[in-house]
Amino acid sequence: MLRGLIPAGLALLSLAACSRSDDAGATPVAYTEIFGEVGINPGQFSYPRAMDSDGESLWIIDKMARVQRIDSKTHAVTALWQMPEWKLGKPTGIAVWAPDGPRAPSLRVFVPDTHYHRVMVYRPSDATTGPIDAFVLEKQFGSYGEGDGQFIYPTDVAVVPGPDGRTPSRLLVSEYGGHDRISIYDLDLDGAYRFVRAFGKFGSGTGPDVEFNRPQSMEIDRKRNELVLTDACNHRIGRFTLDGKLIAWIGVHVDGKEGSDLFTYPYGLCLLDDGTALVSEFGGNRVSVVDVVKGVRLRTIGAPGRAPGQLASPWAVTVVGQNAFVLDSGNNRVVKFDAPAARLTLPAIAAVPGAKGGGS
Amino acid sequence: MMPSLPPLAHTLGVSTFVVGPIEFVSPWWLWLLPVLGVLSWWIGRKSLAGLGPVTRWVALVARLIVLALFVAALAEPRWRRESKDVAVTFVLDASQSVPTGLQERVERFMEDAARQSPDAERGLLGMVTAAKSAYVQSLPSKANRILEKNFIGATDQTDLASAVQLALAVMPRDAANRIVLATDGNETAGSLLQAAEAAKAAKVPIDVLPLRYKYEDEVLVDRVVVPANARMGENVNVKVVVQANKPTRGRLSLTLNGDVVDLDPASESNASVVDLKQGLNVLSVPVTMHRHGAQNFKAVFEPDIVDGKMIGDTVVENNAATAVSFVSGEGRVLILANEPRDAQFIDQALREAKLETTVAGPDGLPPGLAEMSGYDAIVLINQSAYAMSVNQQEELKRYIHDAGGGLVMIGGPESFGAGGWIGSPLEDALPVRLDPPQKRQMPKGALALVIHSCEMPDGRFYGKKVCEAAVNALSARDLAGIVEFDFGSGTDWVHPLSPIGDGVAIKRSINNLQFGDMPDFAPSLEVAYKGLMASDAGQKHVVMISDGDPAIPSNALLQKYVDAKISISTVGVYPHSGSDTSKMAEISRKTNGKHYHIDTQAALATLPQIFIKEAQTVRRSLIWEGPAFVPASAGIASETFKGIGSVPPISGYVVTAEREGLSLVTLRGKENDPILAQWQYGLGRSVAFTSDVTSRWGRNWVAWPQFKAFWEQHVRWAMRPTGSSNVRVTTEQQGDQVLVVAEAVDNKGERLNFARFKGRVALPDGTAQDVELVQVGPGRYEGRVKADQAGTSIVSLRYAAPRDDGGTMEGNVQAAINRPFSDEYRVLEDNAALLEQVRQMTGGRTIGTDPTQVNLWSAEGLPVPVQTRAFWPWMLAIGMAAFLTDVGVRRVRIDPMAIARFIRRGAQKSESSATRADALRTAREQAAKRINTGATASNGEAQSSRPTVQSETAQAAAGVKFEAPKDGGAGVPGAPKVEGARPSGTTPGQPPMPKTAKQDAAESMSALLKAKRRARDEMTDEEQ
Repeated sequence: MLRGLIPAGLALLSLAACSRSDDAGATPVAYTEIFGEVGINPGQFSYPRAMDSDGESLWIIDKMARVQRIDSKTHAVTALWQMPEWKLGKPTGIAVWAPDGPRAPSLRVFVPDTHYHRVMVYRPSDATTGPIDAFVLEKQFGSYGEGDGQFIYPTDVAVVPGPDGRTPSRLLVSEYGGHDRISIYDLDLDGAYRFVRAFGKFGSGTGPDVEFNRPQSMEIDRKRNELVLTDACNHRIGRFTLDGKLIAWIGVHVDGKEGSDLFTYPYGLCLLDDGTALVSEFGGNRVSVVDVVKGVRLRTIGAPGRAPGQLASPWAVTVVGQNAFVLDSGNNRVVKFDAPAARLTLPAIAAVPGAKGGGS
Repeated sequence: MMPSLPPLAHTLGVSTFVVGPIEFVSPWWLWLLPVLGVLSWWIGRKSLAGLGPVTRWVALVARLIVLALFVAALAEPRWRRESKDVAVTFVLDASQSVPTGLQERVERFMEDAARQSPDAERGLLGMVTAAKSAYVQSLPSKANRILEKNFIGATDQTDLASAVQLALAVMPRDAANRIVLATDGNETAGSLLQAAEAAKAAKVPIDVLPLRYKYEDEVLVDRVVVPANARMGENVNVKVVVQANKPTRGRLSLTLNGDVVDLDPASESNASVVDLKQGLNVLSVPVTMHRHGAQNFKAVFEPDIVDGKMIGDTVVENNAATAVSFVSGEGRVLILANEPRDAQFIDQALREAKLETTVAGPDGLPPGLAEMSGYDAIVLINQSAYAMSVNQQEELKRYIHDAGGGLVMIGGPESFGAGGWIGSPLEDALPVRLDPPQKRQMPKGALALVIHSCEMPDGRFYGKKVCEAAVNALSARDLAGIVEFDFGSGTDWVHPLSPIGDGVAIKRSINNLQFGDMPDFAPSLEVAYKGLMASDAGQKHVVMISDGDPAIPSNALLQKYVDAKISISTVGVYPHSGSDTSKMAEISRKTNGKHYHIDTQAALATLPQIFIKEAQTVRRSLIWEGPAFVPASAGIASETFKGIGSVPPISGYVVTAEREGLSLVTLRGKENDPILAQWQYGLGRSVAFTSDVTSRWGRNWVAWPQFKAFWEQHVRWAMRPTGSSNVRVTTEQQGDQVLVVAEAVDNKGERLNFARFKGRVALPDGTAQDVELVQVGPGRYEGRVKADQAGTSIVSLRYAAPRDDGGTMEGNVQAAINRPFSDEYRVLEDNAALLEQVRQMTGGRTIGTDPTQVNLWSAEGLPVPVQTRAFWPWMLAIGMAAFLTDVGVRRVRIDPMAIARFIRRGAQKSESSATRADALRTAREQAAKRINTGATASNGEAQSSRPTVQSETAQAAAGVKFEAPKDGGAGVPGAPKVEGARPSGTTPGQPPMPKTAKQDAAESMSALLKAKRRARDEMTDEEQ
């Protein structure tokens, strides 16, 4: 029985130690499931950094430059490929466009191939056999540079549908690397994405002359026809019109001082149907629930650490159905918890300023 | 912590007791259950007799439950959960003895077997590779179905035992385990059988997958035999021993120090066509020794190639062998200098002294010990540490300590502490300390290291190496700190900017570096800036290592650095793009730092040197320069100063400190700083001169008449004693041992007896062993040393023997031990017998060649893994609750009728609460009135003031105010006093009298007696 007393005492001691080391007030994610582990096999990760969902599955890219589609319920890997080049660096973002459902031929996967200064667009292969779906590279655009149609480090793609609600008629591409900006591309009649213009420059100002320091992820608020993005190294979230006019910054100090009073390196973003957003904070090791319109944080989820429910450098967050998934990058896993609301998925935007529409 | 006691159950020989999903670790405690149960019932039969029948049984049952729970808790109950999972850890022999392609085929075989196993759902798969070292490639996991190797280390050895031990260590404890061992069974290190014993003890079967092969066509160059020592001009017989499996033909070539030895003068080719017979073939070649020092021979066999296929040979790694022979001479000296003119005067002086010199730049240092050993002394003139790799510095140190070579380090602005030698391997060999005491140091320097994640291969390894190198190059009083991004704490000092001291604390911080993925540079540079500004250092510097993809800092921040004169050097390690390179270079350019671009493995290896160089930015303070002065002689009689009086003046030197121990300082500068010092280090000697021999600091030295004598005597003192041609050393391999034999004769040619040989063997891996030779016959001395590593080991022997004239004959002699290639390449056939032995020992299976027939995760014969969780604290808690219930049942009588009345009264109470409150208020007023007026009121008035019905209620509620006085009412004025009367109740018109203690006792006793009688009656009834 003495042997039983010793572990009990140690457990109490460790609990006491844990309570000291945890951030004050921060509590672990009330997770419903955790999956993923470090490794090279399907379903395993080597520092996953990018994630999006198609309404059914999670799309994740790790530092082996592997794109994996993982069923959010069964965790089965249903698609897997490696980026064609990866020695210079791996993608840090992914955007999935599934207007007709996750298994429809209209599915498109946009991968900002960060360190190769380009955007890759993948579509399902017509010749898929077996349990793993094959995808093929449909098109790519971009090259290294600071000119029109060029990128330093592209980080994310936001898709603006055309009037039919299905065709990705306009793309917004964020980038960093000293030439931080958002580039706007329209789909022209021959199916290529054509550079229209860009807005923003490197900096940390809060004025109407928009400045960014690593715009890391973007989402389109289809209820309000707005672009919402995380300006990671300025520790803030920005709301813009779809043609790039600043509506509001969220998280900046009222007195205009640099830094944020809300976020620490917000990397991931997922807009929800109730007007809020989930924001994964790479530096804060948590997920913030933010009222996007009021510009306030409602609560935080998660605490830093390695234990189940704790987070280490979460790069991305998304929602499938009633479940939220945060990419716990530093722990090589995905943490699932109850989403505050469903993901914002209105099908179409009535009018996109400057968008020509069309289809491919 | 409380010491763990041995389980009593084991002491008593009682094993675990299992009941369904519960097991008891100390089941013998359960014997208490019937004993104490009966005892409890027997005691309770009488002690509970005062209770009602129902209450008594409830109390008895509760007591038994309490007892059962407590006893069960003592027996340490645990929940059991049996696992159905089976984990297979695949140990793959990745050494070079396994034929190329076979390993990949085996991996694919395992993957096929994993896919087709009927028990794949419950199977975990992991992989460990075995070569010179064992590495975990993947931990056992259900997700693993593809086997892929990453880093496997050196493959020229096979240590199967370590791999099996590692597999045992990583096996999951909540699954049944198997090891599948795929190997040829040929091990060159460790003992597989011992590891198999461990597996057997852990009840883990080792399934074997023999990798069968036999090289029918094989030729190997077994060895090159040369004498260990030779005299200048001697004609030695070089023997090349070649082993062939079958008769074949090929070409044999021999080189001496890289120059081809013509084996067949009749042929135009330098190689000789040889026809090999089956077995050993010996080819003798006479070679004349024309040079001093180490002579390197290399023999290579080239098989004939027809249609791209080798004829008669399979493995090419064993087709070459080397050997070294040492030729004694007058003394060879290597002089290394950055600028040839720096070496000009020394070189001239030594040549005039009949020493053979070679002058070279910093890259002229031989790469290995064997080549260095060809020189008797090495002179470094104004050499900085970053001009040599750490490996070369290690070799140079071994050259002195283990091979008996001499070192003379001559100063200059790039030398000693100012040249980054602080903390270097070579510092140990110098006769001065390079980190001078605090009072002799100029304003200290401060270095902040900003570390970003290193995504290149071995990034963490090199990241830590460079930090250590930089810190080592600083002095104890300098400040150093490290800034990095950590996911938990953000951007901050992981080691605060603080004096390095003994370096232990900062090296611990370096070891714990996380190499976090820093999003932007600005916060790190802000932290570093604030820290450096708060320090009192004279020189402040930042070194930043990154792949360049964090966001750039603002110009305003960089301008703050410029204003504060803090430079930033950037090291771009495998930058993602040209943009990364240019933006890091821009940071350095703006802040007057340097930028380094690293994008190859070769450049990566120079990283530590770069950091040492960078650290020098804060170490310029170690140079003293001023008006010329004559260094003071220490006045010690030394053979290096024979015939030399005063020395010329110097105008500068590098500040060092005197070393404790046997170091001899012969010249001193300001504040007694050492200028010239010498000492014995291991088998060798070293000299340090902290000023220089050029016009920079030693303008008058080069014209000094005794310049030649001064340096000849110092170099000759340091250099290895010239080897005696009277001592011949030979080495002979005997398994993994090498027999070192010295045969010595004196000048008359007679056997030299009673000599003492002592030396060291410098091994190829950088380690060294002492070796001592004992006399085994007239003039013959032998010693043994273990040398099983491939490569050349250098044996350095110092000897001393008595001379006929009563003096001592001393000398130094060297020899080489050559093991041209690993034993791995001597293997020509698999060792399936060993695998069969391992399989039988551990109860494993032999896996066939058909993957469909292999049930990889078969649980047959495996012990079922059980996970247990103790829950005795819960039983203890429930027992405590039951105990309280037991006490409650016996002490508290629950009367349902009373409870019902209480509930009813509660209902009425709420209805009449207002009425009662009024009554209470009235009663309180009346009582107060009566007390106030009591002193003057008559008895009749008091009686007439008797409360009404409502007042009685109030009296009951506020009884304390109407309590009878303890003196029987005497205290109440006007109350009748009854002499001798026992108060037995209340008298109308008087307050109630309290019971006395005796009354209480009598009533209790009466109740107990009644209860006892009732119990006795009931028992009698039961017995009847």
